Amino acid sequence: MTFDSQRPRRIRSAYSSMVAHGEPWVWLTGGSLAAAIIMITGLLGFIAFRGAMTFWPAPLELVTLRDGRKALGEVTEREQTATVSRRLVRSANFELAGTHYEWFNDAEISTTAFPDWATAIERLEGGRFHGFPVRLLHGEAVVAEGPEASWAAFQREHPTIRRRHRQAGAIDKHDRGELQRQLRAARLAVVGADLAAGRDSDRYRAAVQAEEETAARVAEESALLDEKTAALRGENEGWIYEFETASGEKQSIPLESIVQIWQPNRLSVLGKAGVYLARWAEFLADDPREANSAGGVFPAIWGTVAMTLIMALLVAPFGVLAALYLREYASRGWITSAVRIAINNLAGVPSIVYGAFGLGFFCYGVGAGIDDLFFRPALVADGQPTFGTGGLLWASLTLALLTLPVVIVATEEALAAVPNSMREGSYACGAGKWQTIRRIVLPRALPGIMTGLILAMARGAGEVAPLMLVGVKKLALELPIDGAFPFVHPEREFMHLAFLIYDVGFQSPNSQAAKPMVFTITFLLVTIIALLNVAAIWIRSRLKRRYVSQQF
Amino acid sequence: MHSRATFTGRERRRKTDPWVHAGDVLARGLITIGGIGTIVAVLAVGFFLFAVAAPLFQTARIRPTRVTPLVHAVERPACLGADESGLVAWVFDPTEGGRVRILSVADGTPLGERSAVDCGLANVTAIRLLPSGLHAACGFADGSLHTGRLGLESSFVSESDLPPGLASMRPGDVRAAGESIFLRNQGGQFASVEFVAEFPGEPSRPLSTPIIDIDLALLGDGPLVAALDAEGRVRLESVSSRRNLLTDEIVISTSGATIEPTSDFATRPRFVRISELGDQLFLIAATGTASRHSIRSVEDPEWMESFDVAPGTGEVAAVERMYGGNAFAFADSTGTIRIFFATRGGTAPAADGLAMVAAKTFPAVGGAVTALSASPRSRLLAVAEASGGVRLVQTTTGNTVIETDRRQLLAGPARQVLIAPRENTLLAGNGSSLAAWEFNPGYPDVSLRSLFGRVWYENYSDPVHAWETTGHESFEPKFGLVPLIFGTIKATIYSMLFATPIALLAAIYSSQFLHPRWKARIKPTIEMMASLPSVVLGFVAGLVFAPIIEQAVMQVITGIYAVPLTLVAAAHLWQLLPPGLRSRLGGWRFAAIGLIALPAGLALSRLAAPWLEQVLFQGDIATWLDGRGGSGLGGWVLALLPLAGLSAVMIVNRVITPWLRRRSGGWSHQQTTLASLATFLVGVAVAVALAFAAAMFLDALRLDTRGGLFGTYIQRNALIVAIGMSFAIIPLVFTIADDALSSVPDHLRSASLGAGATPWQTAVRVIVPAAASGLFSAVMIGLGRAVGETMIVLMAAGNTPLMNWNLFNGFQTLSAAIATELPEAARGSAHYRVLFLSALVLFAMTFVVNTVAEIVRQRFRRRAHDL
Repeated sequence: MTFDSQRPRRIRSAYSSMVAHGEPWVWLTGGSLAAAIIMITGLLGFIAFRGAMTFWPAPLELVTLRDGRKALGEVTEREQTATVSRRLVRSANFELAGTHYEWFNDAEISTTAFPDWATAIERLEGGRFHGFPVRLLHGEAVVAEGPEASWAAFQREHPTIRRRHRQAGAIDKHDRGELQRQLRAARLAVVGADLAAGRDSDRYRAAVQAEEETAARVAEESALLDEKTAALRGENEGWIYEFETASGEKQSIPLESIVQIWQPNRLSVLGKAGVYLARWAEFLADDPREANSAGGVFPAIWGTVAMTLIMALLVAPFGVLAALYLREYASRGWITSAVRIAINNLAGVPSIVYGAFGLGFFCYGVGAGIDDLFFRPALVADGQPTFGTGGLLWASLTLALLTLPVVIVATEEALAAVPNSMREGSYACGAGKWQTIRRIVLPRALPGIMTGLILAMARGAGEVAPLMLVGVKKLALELPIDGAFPFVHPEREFMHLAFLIYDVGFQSPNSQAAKPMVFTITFLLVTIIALLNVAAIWIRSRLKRRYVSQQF
Repeated sequence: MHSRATFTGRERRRKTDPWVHAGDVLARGLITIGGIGTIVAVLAVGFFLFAVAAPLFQTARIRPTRVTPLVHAVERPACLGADESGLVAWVFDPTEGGRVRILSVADGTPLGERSAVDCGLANVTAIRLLPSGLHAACGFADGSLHTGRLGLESSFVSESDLPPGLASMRPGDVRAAGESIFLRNQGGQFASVEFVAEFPGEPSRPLSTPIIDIDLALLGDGPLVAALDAEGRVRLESVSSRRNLLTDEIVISTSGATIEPTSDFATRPRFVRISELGDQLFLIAATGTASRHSIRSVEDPEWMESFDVAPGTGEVAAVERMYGGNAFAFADSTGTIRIFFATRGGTAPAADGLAMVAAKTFPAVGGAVTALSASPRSRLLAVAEASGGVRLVQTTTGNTVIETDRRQLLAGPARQVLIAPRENTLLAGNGSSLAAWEFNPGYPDVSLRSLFGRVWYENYSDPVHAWETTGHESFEPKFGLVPLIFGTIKATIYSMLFATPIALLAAIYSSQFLHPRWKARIKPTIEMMASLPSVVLGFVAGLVFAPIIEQAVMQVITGIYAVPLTLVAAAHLWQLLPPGLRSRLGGWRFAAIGLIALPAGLALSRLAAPWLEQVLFQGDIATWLDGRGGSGLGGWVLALLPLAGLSAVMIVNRVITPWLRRRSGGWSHQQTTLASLATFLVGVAVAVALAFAAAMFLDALRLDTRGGLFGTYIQRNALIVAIGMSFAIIPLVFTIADDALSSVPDHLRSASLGAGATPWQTAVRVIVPAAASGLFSAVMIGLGRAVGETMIVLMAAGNTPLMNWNLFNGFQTLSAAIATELPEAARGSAHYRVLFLSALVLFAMTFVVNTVAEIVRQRFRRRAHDL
């Protein structure tokens, strides 16, 4: 037996050593990683850029064509091909031009300019308007003539007028809404009395009388409200700002309907920032207008937050219970491992399947049952199901079910990570099983549980396919949690940011004008989810530090 | 003394506090109940889906209610009708001058009688009733015809308006009170039923011999009637009423034509039918000869074609227009029923491009067919047979839904059958009695065969897989899941083809070659991406990428080949650097890849795209994809390049590398790297040459990729979905794959490197095989995500249930169909349950994929542990 091989040793060649390094293949794998990173950061950057830019007041360019036609607007896109270069101008003034955007070939343009007094207006209805201020009118009287004077006068008058408008709107929405609710409650009481006791009962008669009284009171009060709003609106009436479009047409815009107004070509960077922030504030705090393609998204933010929180409240106890059972109480056997496989599987079941389940089981099953038992009057009176249709509660439950596997798996892993020596130490000190779990195991598993929960919330906040089936609506200005008793309205349908992206992006009648809005909503949603993720990472590291230091 | 003194002198409690025990027991109980409950609740999802979908496959139920003896014969032109609820029936009895008898279906109680003269039905010889709105046409013995309303009209009555004593009726009860009939339907509502016979104006008398058959269609401006007389002449008459705008008078105008019997017919026609739209007229002789006439212009009917509805020896026994008005059922004396409808195309179309086809044949069961009746609300057909049996068949699926028990029936075959408007009661009558059954058809338009097999739908030229669930009122729903399953598979395959290589290769680099400091930043970034909502990806794919890629198809296709090629080329250039410099720059390799090589590849694809488009697609890929001009060469080259590339790699590895190995004994670094670069260039040339050669060969065989892999470009298509979906799949697969690769024990890696293997050899021959099952599981989990993804396909795939592999065409997936259609589907309807079945199919698909992944992963964990 020799240590030397009988065969002659292969002479090491430079080429085979180079092939062994597989440099080209390494580059291919590296390229894939780089591509993945570029795709991902590119996408996030793109969304952030487009989303953040929506409200930045872009300069208004006055384009004069060779044939004398003029247009005023923001240049949103430039295109350069071999044969032609052209620009897309957001020319606004839909009621005059019949279009929001227009392409202009550079070859046809004679001059372009950025006039100082070019003004962009967000109106209550009819979308954007671009023009030049001419004069401010109050009824027949001319308050101020010329751009400068009228602009100053406008600045003076507009805040009061908007305030009055908002007051009238608030009366319509809240006070009148409250009266309507009372009226409906009285009517439902009548129907309920009819169903419970029949028409020949005292209860029915009392209910009818109460309804009449309510109706009389409501009529009285709404007459008062009518007076109030009429007074507010009357004061606003007649205030008109007259504008001239680029092509010279006059357009009168009531001051009341001007939501935002800015003159980007005159503004300094600071002024632009002011307009930018004002528009963001409107976006975050206002109700949507014009089929959700303008205005704010406050109800959607509120709906998203309410739904996600209720979901978290539902999913946390059950997820932890299930994980505790699986890890601490269930006996190890093939059943537990089968259950574990099943739960891991369910984490991968498509969300739409949960949506179908939610619709069939919660809305049409449990909800219809609740309606039959407790809300028969509403069902009989106007055929409107209360719980028997989509709503906040059902949406939260559906998403809780959807995220339950995530929480169970995360909690189980966290429980498994608690070293057995700590349990044994606790037992050795005389603690019972529950004492051990509560005082030793759970605190140490808490970071993992919190992480799982927050990741579940992040997933819930962005999930939309199941919500389309169980309670999200295009427009629901009545918030699911508000100041009216009983404050949380689990049966109400709600708006959701993620659904808004789908709705505004794909169902909007004018998808191009709505696109910037979609980018902003997307940006907002991605930011919320990213914050949740960052929070998960932060909590994990913080709690880890706290407990790791206690470890012995 | 029972307490022992301790060493310290302090007394110690040796028993556990009862509260601790109680807490333990309570916690155990609560956690066990809560835990098991939660797990059961989650698992119940699958069972619930199954429970909702299961009724689709239940067999229909039928229960005989009663046989009522009738005093008088119900023979031709006997007429049978029922009210909306199916509780009250009427029969026309032509004896003794004729009378209408109204009776309760449940117990046969007579509820009223009207003489034929009162009803305007004296000497009637043919009656045709339309189920909707009680429209009727009658033909008389003297050759005259009359249209109007005939039948039982029901209107809901509130409880307070009922005559005294009737409020105590139970659901299903019928009472006659004075002239009116009152009933309480199964839903508990009260209704009054009135027999209506209104024939306004005078009958027209276009023919002179008795009318033997008549048909009626309701058109926008009035009824269209076709009547056949004993001599075989057909009178077509359209009655239109128009309001005069000036005088506000209603002007009734009639127009029409007479069709003389054609020479096609050896015997006189026995039946006449018109289509529901009033554009076709059919004449059928008892021998089975039939002719089709176009009556788009009522004054000028045109013969279109002749066909045989009872090939063989049979005689035509009954003809019925099916619900929807497109299809006709013909039954012959042998008992065979054939469903005919007009299809476009076919082998020998008539002048209008249509041809009648016998799409479905129901073989005889119980002898000759004696009567047919179509349901007024679905494609159910009631068939009465000479044996005395009655059965219900569904003409879309071709299923026999119900067969009645023959013994319990009428004495002798039924002459008349009727399906009541709500499809809950079946009536059959003959000369001696009237029998009634309560039945529940279940979901006759859905069966396993119709869900997963080809079905010949009305007006289609052949059986197809189709999914189409919404349309006008009498539209034929098409519940074929195959196009949706196909769409799901198409989305999955293209997305995985795009995403998996990137994700796996990236995981190999990040786990084996990336500096740990870089990895600590890069991995969380990509992981975070996994929680990006799919609606965002769908929006970006559908509204941002789709229009851009539409303009740059060629750049994208070129990029798929040019970017990897550039990377490999750049690697060869990197090798050219002197070894010293290269090792000093080692830390910057990833930066060089990402910041130089990758952008260079993108730039190259941008530059090369127009040139490639010129070479392969005559300068315009859109036209080429449309199938206008150009040979199939370009498509084949693109499709075959990956294969050719693999072959080239094989050739290089088998032939050139061994040869160079033998030769390169004393070569300098410079020489080796140049040789390697040359090898690469040769490999590329070989690959391109191979692809071109194979493409030319296939093109010469007249094979084309268009119609298969490629085809007309639609803005929202599989390519867009693949790109959008890759944003969701790459982070998922990457994370799991990277974990699997990183968890291969370090000692394996160290041993391999210590034995002299290069990092690349270690990665490919040691790490990847050891982590193979983990990588597989990563791919499976990505697959599961792709199968169930909803929003991306909803927004980027165009949502048309097509079945082709065209990369540039759209599709619809199971998930998208559920998301868009379930909110609109009526609860409990067939559509609703089929959508739940799709959810179940989706559930099952992902469950299988995930279970495989999970089992493999657990095995991998054990194996990794053993290592």
